[in-house]
Amino acid sequence: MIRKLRRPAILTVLLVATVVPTVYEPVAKILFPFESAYVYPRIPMLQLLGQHVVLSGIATAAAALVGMLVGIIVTRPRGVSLIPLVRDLAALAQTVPPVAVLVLAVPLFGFGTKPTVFALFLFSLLPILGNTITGLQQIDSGLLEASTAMGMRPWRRLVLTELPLAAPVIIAGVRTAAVISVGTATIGATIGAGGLGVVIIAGLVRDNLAFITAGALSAAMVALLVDWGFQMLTDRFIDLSS
Amino acid sequence: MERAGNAPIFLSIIPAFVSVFLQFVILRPNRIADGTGYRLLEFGPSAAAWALLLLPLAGALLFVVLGAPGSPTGNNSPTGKWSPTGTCSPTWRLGILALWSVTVTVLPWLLFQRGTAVLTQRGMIGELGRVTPGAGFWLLLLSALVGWHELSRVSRVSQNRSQLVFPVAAVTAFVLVALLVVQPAFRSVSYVVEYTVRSERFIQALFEHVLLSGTAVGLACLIGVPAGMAAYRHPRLRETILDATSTIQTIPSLAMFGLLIAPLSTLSRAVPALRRAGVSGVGVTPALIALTLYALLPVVRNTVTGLLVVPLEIRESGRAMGMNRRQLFRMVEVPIALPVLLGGVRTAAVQAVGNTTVAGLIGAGGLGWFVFQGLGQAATDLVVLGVIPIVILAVLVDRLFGVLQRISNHGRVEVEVAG
Amino acid sequence: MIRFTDVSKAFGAVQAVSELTLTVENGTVCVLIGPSGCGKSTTLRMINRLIEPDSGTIEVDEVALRDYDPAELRLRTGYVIQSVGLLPHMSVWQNIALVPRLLKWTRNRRMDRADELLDLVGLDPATYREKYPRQLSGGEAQRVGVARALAADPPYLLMDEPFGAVDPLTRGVLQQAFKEIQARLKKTVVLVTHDLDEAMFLGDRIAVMKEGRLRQFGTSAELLIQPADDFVADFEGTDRMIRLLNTVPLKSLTGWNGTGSPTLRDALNELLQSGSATVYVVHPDGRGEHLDFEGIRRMVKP
Repeated sequence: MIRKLRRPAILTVLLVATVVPTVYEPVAKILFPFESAYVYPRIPMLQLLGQHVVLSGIATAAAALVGMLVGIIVTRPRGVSLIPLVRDLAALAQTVPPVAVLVLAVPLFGFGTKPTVFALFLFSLLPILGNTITGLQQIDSGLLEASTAMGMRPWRRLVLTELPLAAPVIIAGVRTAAVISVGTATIGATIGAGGLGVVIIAGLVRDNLAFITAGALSAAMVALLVDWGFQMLTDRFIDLSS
Repeated sequence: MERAGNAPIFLSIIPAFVSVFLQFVILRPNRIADGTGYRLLEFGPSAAAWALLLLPLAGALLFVVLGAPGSPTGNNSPTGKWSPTGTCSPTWRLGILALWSVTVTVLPWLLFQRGTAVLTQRGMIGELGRVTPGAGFWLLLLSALVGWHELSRVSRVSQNRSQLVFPVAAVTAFVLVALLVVQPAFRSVSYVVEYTVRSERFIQALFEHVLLSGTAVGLACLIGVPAGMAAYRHPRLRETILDATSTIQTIPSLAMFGLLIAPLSTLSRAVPALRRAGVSGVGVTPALIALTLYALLPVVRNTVTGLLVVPLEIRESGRAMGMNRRQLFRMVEVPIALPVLLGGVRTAAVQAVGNTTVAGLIGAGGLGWFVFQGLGQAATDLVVLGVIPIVILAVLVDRLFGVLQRISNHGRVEVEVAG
Repeated sequence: MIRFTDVSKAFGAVQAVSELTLTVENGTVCVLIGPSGCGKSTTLRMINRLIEPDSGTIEVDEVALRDYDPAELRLRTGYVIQSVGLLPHMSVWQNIALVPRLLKWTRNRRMDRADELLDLVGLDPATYREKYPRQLSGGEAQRVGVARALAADPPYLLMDEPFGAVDPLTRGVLQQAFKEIQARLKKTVVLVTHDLDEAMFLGDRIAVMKEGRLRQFGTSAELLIQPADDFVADFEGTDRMIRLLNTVPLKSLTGWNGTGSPTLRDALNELLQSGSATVYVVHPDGRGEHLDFEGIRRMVKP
């Protein structure tokens, strides 16, 4: 148990070290003695962290909702004809870099948080939608028939049989989406969305290594922590079903 | 068996209809101004006539494809209710779908040209003025995309002779569009304007981009394939290697670049020899290192999976035949593992093209430079000029490796493992 | 009671079931048997409306099927399939109590019922109730499947090759267990199998089908003594008379050590094995007698 917690502990410590000025400042002074400033002055790091998490969180949550909904609709008898189209569209969209979507959202929404959330939403949608479809389709048809034959109506069958069995795959999709969200939100700083990327960019502009490292390290830690969190969730689920 | 559902066809027809009511052409006096949009119907009678052509064609499509009300269907509907699988013969269906797809592909370009011509006639495009395609244009293109997808799917399922329909229709559309695009009217398209202004820089950026991503993938293969083989041979090592590469993948690209800048800067400052060699804190060095690291995971993971996928029986027969280690590797393991490995390289390459965009932020050049310059100046045309080639590049790379995969697999069904 | 009247079903160009007319009386086991593709599974699945017939009527309790709400109908019809279909993410007791859950029974009532049924199918509740399907052997899973089908005490039970996926030894045990349960519960059962021995052991009446048509419907004795046509005769195999012996039950047989009740075939076997001239049997009506070869022969070919 303790061994399992070793990793998130390290990640959290590093995150805290970069985000809390009283901890970071002395450390940075030692590492980069030649810099003029050590802690990003304009906005407190904690606030940027909050923005970052909220941005990617909202986008991923919305994508999860819509993605699962569409995935469910498309796997119902009436929507089956749409599956090849959705699949191929998703495959094509996979080749588009997240940055491109982010940047192309600007002409539509202007700068700031709106295009970022939109782009993150769109990009999170794909893995979730794809995994929902795969997860629901790979269920043994014998189990589905047994459920119907038992007297379950379509809605009950979805809730009692299909979703629990598809859950591990769907969660894997949400995990991928969450990690991509957090990653792309970092670049969102370039279109004025706030978040930890702001510190990195400020560091690049001012040629300040302390800023760059603070921003980069904290962003990396957030991403790794989110990934670890989902890993724990998936492990729980695998224990339950399989 | 593929269901002949009509939902995709609806998805193709509806955007086409909606596009008529949206802006088709946006005229902007210079790079930054927002400009005014013009709808299809404002281009005069000939444009309206085009729109009217759309409607009956779509109607015919709907009728023929959906079938008349009350027509009996097969299977499971003894009550004879109207069910949208239609009584249309497959060949007619194919033909009409092909006609629709070609029309909807060529139409937006025709209409765009018409719009530009009208605006030029009215003398509204000044010296710095440019024309940008509007929502209507993109929506029609979306319609076309869905239509083509449906056509390729249906023609694959249908009989032998109809196998020709898709390629013929595709080539026709392509030729027609190419003929339109080379016309002088298109010179005032905003993206073309931007390009002509800085074409040298563009080509340089394109070159940098390809070089950077290509080198990264190449290095990743050089390091990754042996690493993968080591991981395969020593299961104890496997978990560590896979865990490490997967951790790297989780880190956001900009953060990764950032994390490398500090140590590299310090290093190059401390060791002047390195600095003279070109290693520095920002620019190509951290970008290349980061890109290579990112490309490692797909390559390593797929090398391991590819080798694992070789069936035990085949391995044993090889050994029973008297093959030594090297022969076994060359004649058995490599041919079977190769398609999987290529799949990994494919993923790595596509991701690399995307990640190289961000490299533009830290001064490594590439098409990302255009993107972020455009963002900084709030000039969306510049941004699009950077982004579209990146997307096209990514798709091309993906398709190319897909072909390579299929060749290495001797035409069998694609083996897609890992990500 | 289940009644088929002129029921037909086609899949594309293939006629799966043609003009099937047949009645299953309450409390009896009707076995549908025939070669692959004869339409027996299709017929079964038309009863709980997993498949809809093209023409003809199926009535359950004098009411036409299409007048029933499909889900309601299925809640009252137990369904057991070869692959069992236990939901892997639910425990054994949760699987068994699924239909009661759909019927909105309270949790306690459901748990009690699950224990009751585990007992009925011969599994110790304390050991099995919290297990998960992947922890069960083939035979155990099949028993749980039957328990699940019986959970809401449905009047009807549909079974599609329920014992096909286990080894022959387990199959025999399960068949015996089923026979005992049926003797207790007296459900109306329709069972599909391709195994004639199983059909004759479990079925009160047997429907032999070929290529969608009903060839003969009757008791095992009727089928063996008077096969309706060559197909039925061939289907029964060249050892028809031996099978016929197997359909005559005895109350007891001296020298016999098997499980369940002995049959006339066991008597013949005992006769050959012991080397004596006669064996002593007790008929179900209590009458005892010594049987020799001639006596046995007279019992089946009067």
